[in-house]
Amino acid sequence: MKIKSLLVLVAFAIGNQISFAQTADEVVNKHLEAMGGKDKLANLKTLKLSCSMEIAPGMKAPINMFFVNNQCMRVEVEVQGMKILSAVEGDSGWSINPMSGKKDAERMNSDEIKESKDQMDLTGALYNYKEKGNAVELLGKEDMEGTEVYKLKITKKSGDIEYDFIDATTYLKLKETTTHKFNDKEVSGDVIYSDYRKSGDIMFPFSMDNRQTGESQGQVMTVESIEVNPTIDRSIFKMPPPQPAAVEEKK
Amino acid sequence: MKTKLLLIAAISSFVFSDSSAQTKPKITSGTLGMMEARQIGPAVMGGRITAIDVVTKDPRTIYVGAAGGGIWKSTTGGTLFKSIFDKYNQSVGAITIDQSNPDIIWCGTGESNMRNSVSIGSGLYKSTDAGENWVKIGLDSSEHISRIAINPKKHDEVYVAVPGPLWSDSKNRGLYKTTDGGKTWSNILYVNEKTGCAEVLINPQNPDIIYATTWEFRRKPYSFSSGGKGSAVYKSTDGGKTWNKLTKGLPVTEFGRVALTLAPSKPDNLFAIVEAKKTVLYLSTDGGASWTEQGSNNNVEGRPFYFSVITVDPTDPMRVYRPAWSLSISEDGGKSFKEGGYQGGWVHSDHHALWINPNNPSHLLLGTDGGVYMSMDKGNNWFFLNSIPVSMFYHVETDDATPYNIYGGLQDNGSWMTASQSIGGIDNGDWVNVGFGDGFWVQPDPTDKDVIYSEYQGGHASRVNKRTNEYLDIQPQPFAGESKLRFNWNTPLYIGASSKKLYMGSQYLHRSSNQGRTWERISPDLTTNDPIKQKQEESGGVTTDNSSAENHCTIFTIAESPLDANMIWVGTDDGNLQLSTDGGKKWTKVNQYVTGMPAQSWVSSIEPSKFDKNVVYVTFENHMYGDMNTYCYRSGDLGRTWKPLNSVDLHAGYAHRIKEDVVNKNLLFLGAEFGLYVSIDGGDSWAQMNAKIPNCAVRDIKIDTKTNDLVLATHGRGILIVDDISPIRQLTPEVLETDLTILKSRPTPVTNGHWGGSYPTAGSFTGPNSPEDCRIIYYLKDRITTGDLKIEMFDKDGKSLGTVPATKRKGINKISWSMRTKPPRVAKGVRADGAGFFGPLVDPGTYTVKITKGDKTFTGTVELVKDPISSHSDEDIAAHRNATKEVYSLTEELAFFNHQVLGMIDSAKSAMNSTTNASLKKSLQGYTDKLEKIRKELVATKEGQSITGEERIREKLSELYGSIVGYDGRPTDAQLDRLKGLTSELKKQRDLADAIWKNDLPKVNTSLKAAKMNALSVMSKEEFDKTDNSVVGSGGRGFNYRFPFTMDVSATERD
Repeated sequence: MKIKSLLVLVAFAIGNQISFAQTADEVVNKHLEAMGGKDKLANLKTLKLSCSMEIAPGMKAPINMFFVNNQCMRVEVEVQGMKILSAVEGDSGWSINPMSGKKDAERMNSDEIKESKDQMDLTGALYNYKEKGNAVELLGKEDMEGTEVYKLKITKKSGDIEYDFIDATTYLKLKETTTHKFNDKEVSGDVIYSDYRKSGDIMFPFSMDNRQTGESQGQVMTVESIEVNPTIDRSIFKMPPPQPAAVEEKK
Repeated sequence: MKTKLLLIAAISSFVFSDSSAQTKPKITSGTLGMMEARQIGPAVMGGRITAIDVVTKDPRTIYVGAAGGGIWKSTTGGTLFKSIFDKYNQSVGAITIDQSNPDIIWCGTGESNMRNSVSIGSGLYKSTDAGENWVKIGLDSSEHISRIAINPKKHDEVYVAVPGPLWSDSKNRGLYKTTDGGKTWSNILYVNEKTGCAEVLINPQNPDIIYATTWEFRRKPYSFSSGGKGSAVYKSTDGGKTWNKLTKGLPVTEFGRVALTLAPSKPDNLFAIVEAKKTVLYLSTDGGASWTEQGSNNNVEGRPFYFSVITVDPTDPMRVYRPAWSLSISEDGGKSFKEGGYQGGWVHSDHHALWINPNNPSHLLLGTDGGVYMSMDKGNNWFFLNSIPVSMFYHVETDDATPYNIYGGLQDNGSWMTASQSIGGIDNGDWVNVGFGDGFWVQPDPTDKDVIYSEYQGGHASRVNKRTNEYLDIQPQPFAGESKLRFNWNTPLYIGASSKKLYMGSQYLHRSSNQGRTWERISPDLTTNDPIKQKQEESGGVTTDNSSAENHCTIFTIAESPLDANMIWVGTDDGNLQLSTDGGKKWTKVNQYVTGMPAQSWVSSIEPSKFDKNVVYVTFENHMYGDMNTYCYRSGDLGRTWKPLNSVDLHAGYAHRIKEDVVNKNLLFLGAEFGLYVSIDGGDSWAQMNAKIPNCAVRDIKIDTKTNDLVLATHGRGILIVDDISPIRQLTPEVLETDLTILKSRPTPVTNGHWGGSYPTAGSFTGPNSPEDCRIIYYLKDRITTGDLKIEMFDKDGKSLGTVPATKRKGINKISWSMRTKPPRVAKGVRADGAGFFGPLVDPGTYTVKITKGDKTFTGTVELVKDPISSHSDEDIAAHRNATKEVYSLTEELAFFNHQVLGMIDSAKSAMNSTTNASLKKSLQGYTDKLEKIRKELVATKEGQSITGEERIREKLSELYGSIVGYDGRPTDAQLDRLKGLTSELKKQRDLADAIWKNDLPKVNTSLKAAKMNALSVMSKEEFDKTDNSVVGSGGRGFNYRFPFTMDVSATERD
């Protein structure tokens, strides 16, 4: 559920169906235009997302996310009244998972931080891709689940590969497949985007279906609300000090 | 939203713009949506392996090409393989890695082991990202590609050996060369329309030196010819501009296919096995100028058209490997041979590919008719890489067991059966061998569950007792004085759809009513009996090859009407379609009425209708005469007139099997050389079913009537199953016109699941079972990109059971509903409580699905049934239900009580912190201490990630909850007693707390009041319910709580 790829828009381009071969740049530009335009994306500084994920019937896990573009991110997931936290600021990151009884923060490893930094790029791999050191290749037009899409291959500066499937009619991004090394294993996942809505002049998908690559159903994260460019207190990204052992245990 | 409607309207008009001319909406692959296949293997044996290449710098990266199953890649040294060529032609002839940049891979499609059953390729492909993406790069009409060689010093210079078409003349044969990475090609060694190029080698030290072999060959349906004037060995010293024929020391007579190689450590050492009247190994030590006869053995001589590989050790120029029937190894340059060792166990015969690690000559990979083997000791011991499911089935059958069994015969791998469901998945160990040789038809006896019939090539049928594993040969025999019966290589062995009698076909039709003990001959010769097509003993060319694969003028297809046991259809391999309507007394030939069908075509399948006995569907195929068209027909008058069912939508290649659905007479399936096709309008239009079904040959199709499963026999991807095709039956023209329609699925058993089986085997293939959860299935005319889709479930009383996340793709969507109600609220503790992750199962019955799309709602139902394999009585299930209710409400009661206590402790502590009044502090402290004591009885409170082992009521109750809720039947008495015990333990603590709140709390509140502070109050149930934040976690789908935001990539490991 890459935030950067939350950004895409409905272009009413149905009238001028493309009958000529497109270049990668043409597809990228139309896609960015569909997202709201480069100028709007340039203004995207911070983002707050309130989301939920339905995990069992009638049970939703609330998820809050805070982003400072290319600098920080924080994710909160609430489970049985316990908060699972993770945050990255610059080159360091931490997480707390109280599910198994530990309340103290642990440092993230470099793969986890690298992955988070990827997601802190709110404008996505295609926006200013050359400046970001990414290479984009148009692999062609293909059928994706019955819908015609442009398949873009993005080789990121880090060497990671991302495939974007851009709707050939609306230029919205319908799917993203990422592949990279994570904890020494090559992993890949798909995100299916839908329910696009405009927030702060930018199109965001309000539904993100996270799947194992090739699977036809995954876990859906639903965005409840989006705040574009809110004020975010930077202290929430700092790693909290270890908690003193519970007072009552000491007595 | 106006724009949204505009968009939808625009998309609709776009999609249907060309259908407006036609009256009926057409389906596409996209319409079939999530009607996906699951591949169940087997990988206990492979299929034929045609190519192996490995990245020299990193020998963990292996590419394997299969004769009918595409390309498989491992990045783990062979422990795990992943299919990487699903979208393209599945017959792989050659794979070559550009070792100077191993991201570049070349793949030639169309294998060149020119046996009778080979598929055809569609050209040359190239990947520049290690097989992630492929581009077709030319040689489209080559049909067969045998070798690709890359200039090690100029990697855009590539040579491709194209033997070319097997079944027809062609100008597209020869040796092709590109110097610009595949943009342009020139044919640099062309002989004639009958002679192609079979091998190309580059001298690694001087890449201008090229060697190539040319080969004249041709197959007909009834004969094979290898050899002729065109066959030769050539050398070029200028990169292929000019060529010299190498002759000195080689046979002077016409010869056939040549296996040629050079010694990497001494490239002037060349070895050649030349197919000739006397096939032997030759050695040249002067770069091909002259040759000396070395030695020969069974493997050197064996089937030169089929075994075309010879390989030299990378460091020892006189150590030669000859993979053929088995592996022969020579240490003296081919003078004498020893047999490769098989101490590590059996190795499948018939070898077609051998890779030797250039940096470690002990490390070998061997491709056989039965998969890939690895040796780490120069071929003395082997182990099998059993995770590549590329088995090659001819036919498939199912029975009426629960779960149903699947039977089928495979190319060079005998006959096998498995249950269609197995605990933990269908793994290699679930497959049982029930026949030998090349397997074709397997028929379970519907009247005797111990008996099945299987066969090997040429009609060698057996009655197999599954219980005792005894085989009785039951092949029909010629009468006294009669010359031999002609049985097809792939002889029909068939149980009548109505009569349940056993049929076999030679040139005559044979029928048995007593399990093959006696045979009644119920027809005259039904073939053309053309003597020109019956000279198999002369077949082979310069070396004889008469394996029964060329047997001709035989019966190939038998079908009895499911509505009339006297109505029998027979199709032959030489174009005859015959019908008897009186049980075989009289026969009428009807193929002459079929217009547009070449006269000599094979009748590949006959499908008499289940709905009307005058209706029959027939496929013909003519590929053995070089004609790859798809021929399928329908007759509604017992074969007097025929309607072609070909349509512009069919790009299927030659047709193997047409299958009529068992419920919807307009629904047809077509298995062809390039995949599976479906028609919902009786064959007027077709769409490819390609959701997890590669473009592999679909040789046979079976529909299991109990499960509605579509079972496919593929020739290269084993058995594929499309679960429950009933949604496709509901795709009427009316439904297709709707924006959204909820489709019925088969009833789902309500169960906690079935557990056990064996340990999952590491590094071995396991096929998935049909999912046990309930499928909610709906059709969407178009993908939903803007706007949401909400799906909510309701019970029979209209009570909501929660929502289910929707998929929004075009066509058939299938989502999973867990059939569980909301999990109980659990007491907050220092770690998560498993009970809060899963709710109880709902009862069998009808449930309502409500889908909301914008301002429209759609409703449908799903049926849940009692688990058919469950042994629980209704009383036991009622006991389960009652105990579940009790343990669920006790869990929630504990959650509430714990919340009250915690809330009170928090309030008291906060009051303590906001006062300086010492006596008030003391009073509050005493009060919280009493409550803390209770809390420590309710939940475990020790922190830390270690296993504390601390158990309080919550932990005990959680375990009990799991045991009771997670089992479908009656709980044990011990569990029920435990439930009572925990109820009273909780009550005891509740009484203590009530006493504190009755006696101590008023005193505390009086002191607070005196200090002008707010009184403390006990939370009510109503207040507690309002705090329901619906927060749970679930381990169910591997959600990564530690790092939830990256859940999208926690996903799959790729290899």
